[in-house]
Amino acid sequence: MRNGPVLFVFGLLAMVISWGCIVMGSVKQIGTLASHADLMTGALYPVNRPGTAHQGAEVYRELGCNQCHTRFAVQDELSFGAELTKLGDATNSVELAVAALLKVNPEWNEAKAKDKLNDLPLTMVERTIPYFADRAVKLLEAADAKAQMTVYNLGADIERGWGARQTVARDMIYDSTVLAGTQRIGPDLANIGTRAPADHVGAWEFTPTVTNIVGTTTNLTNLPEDQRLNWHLVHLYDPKAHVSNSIMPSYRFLFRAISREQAGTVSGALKFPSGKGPKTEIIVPTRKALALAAWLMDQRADTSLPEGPIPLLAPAPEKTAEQKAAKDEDKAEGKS
Amino acid sequence: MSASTFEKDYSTTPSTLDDVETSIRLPVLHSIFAGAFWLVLGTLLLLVSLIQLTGSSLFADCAFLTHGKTKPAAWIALLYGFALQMGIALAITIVCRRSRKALRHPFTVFMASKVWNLGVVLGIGGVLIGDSSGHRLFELPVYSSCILFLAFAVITLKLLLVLHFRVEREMYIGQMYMTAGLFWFLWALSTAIVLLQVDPVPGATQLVVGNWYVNSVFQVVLGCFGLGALCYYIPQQAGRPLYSQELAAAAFWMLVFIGGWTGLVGRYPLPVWISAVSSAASLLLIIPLVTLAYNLWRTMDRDPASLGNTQFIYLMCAFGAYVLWSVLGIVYSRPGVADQLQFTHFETGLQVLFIYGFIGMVGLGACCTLLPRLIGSSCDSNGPTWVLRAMGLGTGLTAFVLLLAGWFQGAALSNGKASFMVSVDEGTKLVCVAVVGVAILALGSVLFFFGVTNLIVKTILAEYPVLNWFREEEEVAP
Repeated sequence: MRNGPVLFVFGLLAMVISWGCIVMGSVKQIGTLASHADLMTGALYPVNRPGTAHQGAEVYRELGCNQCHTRFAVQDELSFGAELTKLGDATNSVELAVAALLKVNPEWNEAKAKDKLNDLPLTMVERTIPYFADRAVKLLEAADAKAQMTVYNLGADIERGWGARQTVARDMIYDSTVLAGTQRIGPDLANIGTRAPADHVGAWEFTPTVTNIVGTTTNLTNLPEDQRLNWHLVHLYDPKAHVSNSIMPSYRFLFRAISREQAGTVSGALKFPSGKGPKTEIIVPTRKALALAAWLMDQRADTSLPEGPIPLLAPAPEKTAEQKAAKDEDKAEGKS
Repeated sequence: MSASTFEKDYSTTPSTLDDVETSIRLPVLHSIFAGAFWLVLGTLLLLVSLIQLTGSSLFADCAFLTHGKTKPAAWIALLYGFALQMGIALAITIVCRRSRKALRHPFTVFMASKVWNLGVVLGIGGVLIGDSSGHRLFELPVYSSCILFLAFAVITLKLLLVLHFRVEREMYIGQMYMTAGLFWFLWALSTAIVLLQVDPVPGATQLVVGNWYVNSVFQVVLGCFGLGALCYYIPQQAGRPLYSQELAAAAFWMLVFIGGWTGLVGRYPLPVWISAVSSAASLLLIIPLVTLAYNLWRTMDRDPASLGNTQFIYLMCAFGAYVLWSVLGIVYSRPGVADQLQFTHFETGLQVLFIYGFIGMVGLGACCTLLPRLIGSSCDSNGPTWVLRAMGLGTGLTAFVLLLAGWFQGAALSNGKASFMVSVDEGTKLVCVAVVGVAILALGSVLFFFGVTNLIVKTILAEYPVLNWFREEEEVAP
C-alpha cells in the first residue's frame, strides 16, 4: 500500500471504534451510577467511606494487597422460584389453592398439596427459569392466594460465604481507585467486613447469623467491633496466628514492638490467641495498620440492589391480637 | 531547523544501507542494552515474587519488597523496560531500513530512549516506595507514565518523519505493523493516563479502561511489534519474499480492527455486553491468526538443512509461542473457561508465554543479525545458542507449569463446597516448579545481558583506542 494518509485514516478508525465503543460506551453507561435509595427505609447505598477507612484504601493500594486479593464476589446466573405465603380469604380458598398447586406441580396429588398447605410459606418451585416461577405466582394469585417470586444467587463464591450476592458496578462508585484485583492467592475481600472468623477452625469459616435461601450464610457477624478489629490486626501482624497454613506474608512493619517493662501506659496493644504472639514485647499498631483494618471492616456489599438482589425474604409482620381474633372469626364463619 | 536543513534531512534521496545503520546505531544499541538490563532485573524480581508465593518469608520484613510490590515491579521491568523497549529498537530498525532513509538526529531518539528508561526507573522505584497506581500492569505512578509518554511521543514523531519521507513509497507490511504499534501505544497510554490517573473515571469504569489498555498493549502494540519483526526477519532467513503480501495485509487489518475489542472477558462487575462483545471478538481473532500462520509457514517452507540456524530457531520459537498464546487466549475467552480460570495463575502463565516466548524470542532472534551488523563484528556463535536453550527451556517450563497451576487452582476455586485453602495449595505446589523455570530464565537473561555488554564494550574499545591504554596498564600492573 502506497498511500500513507489512507493507511493512517484506517488505522485511526480502528483505534477510535474500539476505544469509543468499549471505553466511552461504558463511561456513558456506568460512569453516572449514583447511590441507590432503599424503598422501605430511604437509606442510601453505597455511601462514601469515613476518614480512617478512606486512608486504609490508600494503604491497601500502597502495599499492593490487590495483587493477591480480589474485591468482587461473582455468581452464576440467577435462578428463580415461587413461594406461596398466604391463602385467600374466601371460603373455598384451600380448594382453589390446591387446584392451582396441582397445575404448578402436576406430579403432586391432592392429598399431598393439602398437606403442604399446612406449613406456609410453601416453596412451590425452586431454581427454575423466570417463566415457570412467574406462571406459578400468577396461578396462585388467580386462586386468591398471596404468592411471590424468589431469587436464588448461586455460585462458588456465594456457597463459600463470600457474599450474599454478586458485586455490581454500583458497589464501587465511591472507590477513588478501583482495586478489584486479578488473582485469588488470598480470599475475596468484597464482604470481609460482614464476616467474622470462627475460632481458627478453618481458613475462612464464619459466624453464621442469617441463613439465606440456598442454605449458606451471609456471615453477618455478632462479634463486638473491637474484637473484629483485633482479629484483623493480629492477622496482619501474624497471619499464621489464626490460619496455620496461610501463605500471606506478615506485615510486621505496620506495627511497633514495645518491651513489656516500658509498656505501662500504652493502650491499644494486640491481643493474641493463647500461645501466639511475642512473649517479651507488646505489639502496638501504627496508624497505617489501624487504617487498613478499618478499611477491611468497611468492606461490605450486603445491601440488596435492583441489579444485585439478595434473596432474603422479609419476615412477615407480627399480627396484633385483634387481627388474630378477626382472622379466627373469619375462619370459624367460613367453616360453618 | 531552517528550511534548507529540513529539505536536506528529509529529501527523497535514498540513503545507503551503511548510512541507515550508522544513523540508527546509537539509539538501537542503547535500547537493546537497556532492554537486556531490564530483562535481567525483571526476571530476578519475578523470581523473588514467585518464591514469596510459595509461603517463604523472603523479604517479609522489608516494606519495600513485599509480594504486592515485587510482582508489579517485575512486570513493569519486563513490559515497559524490556518488551516495549525491544519493540522500539525493532521499530526504529525496520522503519528506517525499509524506508531507505537514515534516521536524522539520532541523538534526539537516543535521548528519548534515555528518558524512557528514566520513566521505567521512576516507575519501579515508585511502586517499591508505595506510589503504585493500583491498576493491573499499569501500576506506574503518574510522574512515571507521563515521562514514558513524552519519550515515546518523540520517538514516534521521528519515525513518522522517516516514514513520511520514505524512498520506497510502497509500504512494506513490517512498516505497517510497526507504525500501527507506535500510534496505538501513544493512544492507549494517553487514554490510561488521562482516564485512570489525571482525571479518573468513576468506579468500575476504571476496570474497563484498565483492561482495555492492557489488552491494547499486549494484543495490538506488542503484537504488532513482534509480528512486524517476524514478517521482516522470516523472509530474510528464508531468502525469499513473504509468501503473500495480500494475506499479510489482510491479517494486519483484521488484527488491528478486532484486537482492540478483546481482553475484557471474565466475570467483572460490568455490563454483560462488554464481556460478550469481547468474547466474540476473541473468537474472531482466529481468522487473522490462521491467515498469518499460513502465510509465514509458506514463507518458511525451506530446506530442512538450514533449520540449524540459531536465528531461525529463535524466530520459529517466537512464532510458535505467538500461535500458542493466541489459541490459549481464544480458549480462555470462552465464557465457561474464563469463569473457571479468571483469578488464577493462568493469566500469569499467558503473560510469561507472551513476553518471554514471543517478544523475547523475536527480540533475541533479531539481535542475532542486528547486533553484529550495527557493531561491525561477529559475536561468539555459542553465546546465542546457550541463551536460546536457557530462554526456551525456562519459558516452556514456567509457562506450562503456571498454566497448569491455574487450571487446578481454578477447578478448586469453582467448587464452592471445597475450602478456599485447597485452591491455594493447588497453586502453591506447582508455583514451586515455576520458580525453577524462572531461575533458568534468569540465567538465560544474564547470559544475554553479558553477551550484549561484551559486544558493546568491544566496539567501544575498537573505536576509541585510547581506552585500551587502561586495559594495557592493568595487564602490565601485576
